Amino acid sequence: MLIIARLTFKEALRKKILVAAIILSVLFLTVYGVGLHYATNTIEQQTAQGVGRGMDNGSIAGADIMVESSKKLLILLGLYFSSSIVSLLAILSSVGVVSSEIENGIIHAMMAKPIRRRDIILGKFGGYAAMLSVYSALLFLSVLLLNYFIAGAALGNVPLLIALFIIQPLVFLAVTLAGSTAFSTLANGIAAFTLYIASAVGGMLEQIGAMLSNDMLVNTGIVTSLLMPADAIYRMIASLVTNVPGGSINAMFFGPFGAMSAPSTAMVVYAIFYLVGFVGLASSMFSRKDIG
Amino acid sequence: MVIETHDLTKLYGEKVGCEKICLSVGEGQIFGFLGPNGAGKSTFVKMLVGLIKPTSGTAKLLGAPLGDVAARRRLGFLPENFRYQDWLSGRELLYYHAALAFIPRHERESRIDEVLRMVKLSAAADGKIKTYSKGMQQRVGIAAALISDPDLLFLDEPTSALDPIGRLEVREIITSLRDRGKAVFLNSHLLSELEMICDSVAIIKGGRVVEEGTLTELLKGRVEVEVTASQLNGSIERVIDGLGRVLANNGSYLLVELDSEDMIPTLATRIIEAGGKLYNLSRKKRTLEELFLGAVKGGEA
Repeated sequence: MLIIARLTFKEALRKKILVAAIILSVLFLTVYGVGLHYATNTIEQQTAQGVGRGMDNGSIAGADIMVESSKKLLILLGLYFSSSIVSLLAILSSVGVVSSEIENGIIHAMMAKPIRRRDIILGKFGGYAAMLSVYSALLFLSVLLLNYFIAGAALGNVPLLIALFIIQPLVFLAVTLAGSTAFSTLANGIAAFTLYIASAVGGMLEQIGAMLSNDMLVNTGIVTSLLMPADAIYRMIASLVTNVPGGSINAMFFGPFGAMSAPSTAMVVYAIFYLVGFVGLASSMFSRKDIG
Repeated sequence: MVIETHDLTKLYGEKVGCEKICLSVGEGQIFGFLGPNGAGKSTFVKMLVGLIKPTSGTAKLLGAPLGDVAARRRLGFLPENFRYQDWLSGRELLYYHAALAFIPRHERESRIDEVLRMVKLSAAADGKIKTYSKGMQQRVGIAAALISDPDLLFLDEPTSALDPIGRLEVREIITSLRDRGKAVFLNSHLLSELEMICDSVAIIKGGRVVEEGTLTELLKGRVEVEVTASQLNGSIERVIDGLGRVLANNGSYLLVELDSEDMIPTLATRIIEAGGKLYNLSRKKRTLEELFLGAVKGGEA
């Protein structure tokens, strides 16, 4: 299994999609950094003007919360789009992980070796998971470092946040891997991308539903979270990031990027079971599959 | 026996992949598996190497039931449509296959060098596979199949991309494996090549085996004798009477089908007794191509 994981990791590193993701990430971080710089300047100027006009203590405290919330919103923006990048990278890089190797015949010689089919699946998952974990952690830290150096914003509990952040692409990887054992590369790509869109839209609807106190919208989001829990994991991160004094006022402030309707810890457990379940499903389907 | 199958069948819904195949291949044997396109050759091989699962029937490979992972340590396979990670070098690919075959780490390099020498690819071993010609890719595929020094080797069209010298070299590799007691199961359309090296063959048509046996037995077939003799005018019927029948008569050349092998000396005696001058009398041997075409076209009319 380790040898397959190692080869898959090497293969994943040389994929063009990873190069594209790196270029896009650098572009994103550049634009984000520039935006962060100007947004931070504006926030600081407005705060200074307010203090200069002789605000009382209550108003100053309120302004501090606004500044703090604005900085958190900027972090959330970075993390939301970073989540999208790593989720799409997970889908696009692994969309043909099994199917394309069956289609082009690479897997045939491998399968006559003394290895179990489940080890092939676990090895391939391991290889891509390693690449995605490293990439996701670096992107997450880049966003945090930009916020720290440009906006002076720092977060606590970073290891937990990184661990949660990494779960998102891994969930997509598990689903795409399972799809790759059952469908053609193209069909799997379409299915996985649709699931990604559904998850993102469902997450947004849930937040809007919470703001409008509309149970139907909230329930729609919960159902999509059960179908694909990646967005719920993002909401968990958002909930931890935005945990500032002010409670519900601040949650509302973050709009669809925040966690007005925050998932419970059970959702993280569910996401982990979901991930393991799909890897197991991939293994089971691949073990029964005829490789023509 | 290294391969034993009993009624091995693969159905794709209504369509027959192969049906009730019973074959036995012994150690140190080169076994040729022939058939027209779509006859079920590759389906059968894929079942044996574990790519597809049989619908019914049983099989044993190297004494173990089909699907036994441990038995695959002693098995090599070159797929028909060989494709490898072309971003690796030949040596890296073999290292990967050596690791998958659980060859101990300290033995891998020497084994890789050995198989590279066997397939005459040592000089190009460090080049990327994507820079290899089709023939070189086939050679590296054969090397990957040989990496574990298998007791049973499946080669699906192993010389399809090779030039005549390459084919000769692969034939030499295969016969050297037989000399070491290894069994080779060959899928090929190159009948003349199979005829040169196979001990036994089976011909499959429409998913069923229609001919099977040792090559010697199968090519014996009917007893046909070519005769070149003069001064037999008018006495041919008398000479042949009770021995068989004349298939062709071009004056001094006769093609005769005898009822049994024992009648060949009798035929020679009768020609001499009839006053004929006998220049040549030889048993006509069928070629594998004739056998193949007879088996495959038989019953089509």
